[in-house]
Amino acid sequence: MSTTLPPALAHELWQLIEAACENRLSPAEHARLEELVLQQPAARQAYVSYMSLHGLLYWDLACGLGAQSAENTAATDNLVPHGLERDLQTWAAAQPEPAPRRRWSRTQQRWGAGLVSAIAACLIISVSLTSPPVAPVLPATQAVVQNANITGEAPQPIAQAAGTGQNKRVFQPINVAQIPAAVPATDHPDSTASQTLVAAGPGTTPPVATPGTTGDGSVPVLVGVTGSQRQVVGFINDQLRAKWQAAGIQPSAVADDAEWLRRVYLDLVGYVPPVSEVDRFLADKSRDKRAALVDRLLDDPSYARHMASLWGNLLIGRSPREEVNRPALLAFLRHSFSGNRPWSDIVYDLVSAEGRADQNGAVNFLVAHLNDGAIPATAVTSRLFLGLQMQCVQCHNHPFNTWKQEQFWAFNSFFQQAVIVREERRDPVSGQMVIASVTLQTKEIGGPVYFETRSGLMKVAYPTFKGQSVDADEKTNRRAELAKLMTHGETTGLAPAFVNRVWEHFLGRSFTPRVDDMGPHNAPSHPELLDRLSEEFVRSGYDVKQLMRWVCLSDAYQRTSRFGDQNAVDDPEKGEVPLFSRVYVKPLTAEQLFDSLQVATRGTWVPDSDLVATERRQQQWMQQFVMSFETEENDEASTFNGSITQSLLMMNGDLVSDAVKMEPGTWLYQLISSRKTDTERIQALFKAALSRPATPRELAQAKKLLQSAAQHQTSPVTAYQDLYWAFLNSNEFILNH
Amino acid sequence: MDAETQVPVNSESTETETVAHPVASSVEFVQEFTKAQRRVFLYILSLIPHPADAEEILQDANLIIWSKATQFRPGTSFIAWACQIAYYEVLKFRDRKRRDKLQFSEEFLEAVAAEAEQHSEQVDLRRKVLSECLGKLRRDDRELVQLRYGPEGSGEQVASRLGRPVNSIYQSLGRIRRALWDCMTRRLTAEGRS
Repeated sequence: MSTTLPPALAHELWQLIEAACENRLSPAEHARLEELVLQQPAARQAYVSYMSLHGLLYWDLACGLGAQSAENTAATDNLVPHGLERDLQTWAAAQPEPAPRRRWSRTQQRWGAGLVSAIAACLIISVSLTSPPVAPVLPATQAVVQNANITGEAPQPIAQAAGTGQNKRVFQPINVAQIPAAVPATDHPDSTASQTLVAAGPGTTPPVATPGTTGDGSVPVLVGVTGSQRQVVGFINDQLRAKWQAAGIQPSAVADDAEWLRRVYLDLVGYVPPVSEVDRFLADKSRDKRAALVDRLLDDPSYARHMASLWGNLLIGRSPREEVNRPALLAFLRHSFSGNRPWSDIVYDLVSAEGRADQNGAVNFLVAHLNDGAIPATAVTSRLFLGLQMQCVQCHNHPFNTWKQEQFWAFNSFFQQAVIVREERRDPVSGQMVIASVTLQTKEIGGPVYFETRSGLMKVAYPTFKGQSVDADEKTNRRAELAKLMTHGETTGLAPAFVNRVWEHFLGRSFTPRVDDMGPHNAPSHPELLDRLSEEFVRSGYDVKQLMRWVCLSDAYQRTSRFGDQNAVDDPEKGEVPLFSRVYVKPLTAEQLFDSLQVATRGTWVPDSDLVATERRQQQWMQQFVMSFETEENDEASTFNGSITQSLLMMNGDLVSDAVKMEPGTWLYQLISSRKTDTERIQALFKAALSRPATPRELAQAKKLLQSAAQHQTSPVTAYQDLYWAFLNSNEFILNH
Repeated sequence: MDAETQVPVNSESTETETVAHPVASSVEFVQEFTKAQRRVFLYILSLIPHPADAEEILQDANLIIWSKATQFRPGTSFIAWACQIAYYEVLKFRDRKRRDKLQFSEEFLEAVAAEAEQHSEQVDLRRKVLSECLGKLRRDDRELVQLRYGPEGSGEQVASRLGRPVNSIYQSLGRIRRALWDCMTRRLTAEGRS
């Protein structure tokens, strides 16, 4: 065909077509190829026939399944039986020694163990696509993947579940659905996710110019940012960019919509987006859709619930205590966050609250910490609200900064009037005395508190906060005074502490090495930015949603968590000062994981009418992970930190096995019993667990898995359960990236 | 249980699922549809030379084909009809990707589309011939092809798997594809004569 082309031209053409096949054309070469093909009919023929060769190889080898299901339906068609893949495999099998590299065909042969290792292969691919090289819970990753490899027993309970009576019922529709062989995959027309990954090819960085990104490197979301918001967001962007430039790095690419969607859901409402939401968001073509979603989620009841749960844990820990009424505290926090009460008001209430623990939820914070001479109350109040770690100053002056032991006790003396009054009653059933009510009261006590210096000297301290003393007589309500001092004025430390925490919440790192240790010994990474955000936060009237909006709309928050080509140094895991040129990966909290698994089980977020019951169930589940200690801060140790315990509970626990259960009411059951193609089902599984469509490669792998299952007379239902199980145990699921 | 509405993909696919007219469910349509998949894919690939993109476009086109099944007139060329739909999907894809990908001009698309549609009539024969030609490759070469087009194979991945420089992989692949192409061309010419 190319015979009519002059040899030099033919040679050039081959080079160009070859480069096109491997996606390596430069813009100039691209133009030249177009020119040749347009001008020379012979070149056009050669191009088309070469592409057809390329396509046949791809179709029949990578998507061999498509070809084979075609054979099933059109078995009489004498043109079809030339399965290239089968041919290749037959030849390969005929070779004297199986080549060690031919991993895929071997996997197919060893089905028994093969299923699990194939799943693991899937997982490794997903993980390599989404995790940065050093993820915070890497040990857990390995534990999970290794366990996935060795636990041959893992799929068994699933198989049993599928072996129940429902099996037949659900199996039927699959056969029906398989008739329209290669019908539409659910790959969304606008799934920038897979496209970006595909365009870049695995192992490389996606192109920086994601759709919607404007040429100057600014980020799509700014479209929806207006007015004063724009100034603050612009300031954040400028500050970060200046540091990137100074460090000589380029930020990571903008995260594709699927990655960003999952992140913003987990951060704002605390669970993964339901499938329908993934589809809706990926299909949404409006330029300001990110900003619009942030607004919508901030108004979602789940936002208040999520924030309440986060702050509930910070304020009173996860371990239940008899006198502490957690539901009442959570209700107080939910109301506060849903009504977007100023942060200063919330803190004022928590510090100054009085009343019964079941009637005024805010008192429970101090009820939990007034033990031991209110030392925990002193330490936790200053750490949580002011970002100051004062607990060690109670015994000695701070070794690294100017805090003196007196300051701790001066702060402590604000809590001296707080007393807990318990009312008891006799339980008619057991005859035992039980607590009927707990009340936090203010007792009219005056005077200083006494403390001992390290040299054994007894000293006194009067209520003083940041150099401002209050009257020490018994008529002064000291906590009310403290609350006022902490929340009024501009330099109380309340704003920077909250800003630092919010920043960490969204970006994965705070400005200081530890979010609640902000003294002069820990200089922030971006002092100007922290100052300005704190000022703006105060100026906004401590508007929590506004602060979150600023951060969510910032350039930095739009970036992918993956490293780019030129920001490998931005790795706080290695002790580097964070530059926020990418969003750092966060492990899901136990609550996020719990709620996300609910979404994965039901397919959608079901707002529970009985929040208290849900929270109780969540608490019970959480208890598996938590041990508490009565220390000066009432510390807790959690094994929910990517440990083996967590992995085992995930893999073998009720929540995951509920999610893969094949019974009416589960999302997986609906998926399997609906009339869909394998491709659609696989895509839906990816979206449900990982909030993104499968890449073509993953799709092909998952199909292989199903096909192998069919070849080994395993029910496809089991194969789907195994897939879903593997996804829910993957790193990509248990990380917020 | 009405499970089909649980996972709405987009308006088009919801439409797809609720389609229950006689043509779409007829065996003939399903067979035509199935048989056409490869040919339509190759057609698209000649316009957008990236297999993964082409697959995505094929899936979009499938949605349309399926939802418009009633408009297909039995007795006319299914392929021609499907290619026409695919062509529009290619244009839509280009619109979406205008910013981030190198694109051929519409003039190019028109010229190549005409050629490709003609070409697609030979696909089944080509496939048979390709299968024979693959059999003639050396074992190493065949393995390389299998790796490259297997589920994990970009040139780079193949290179790292085999511990060879990526450029040498591209060279080998180019040589092998060229050999396959030559082999096919020879055989097809011979078949044409006989």
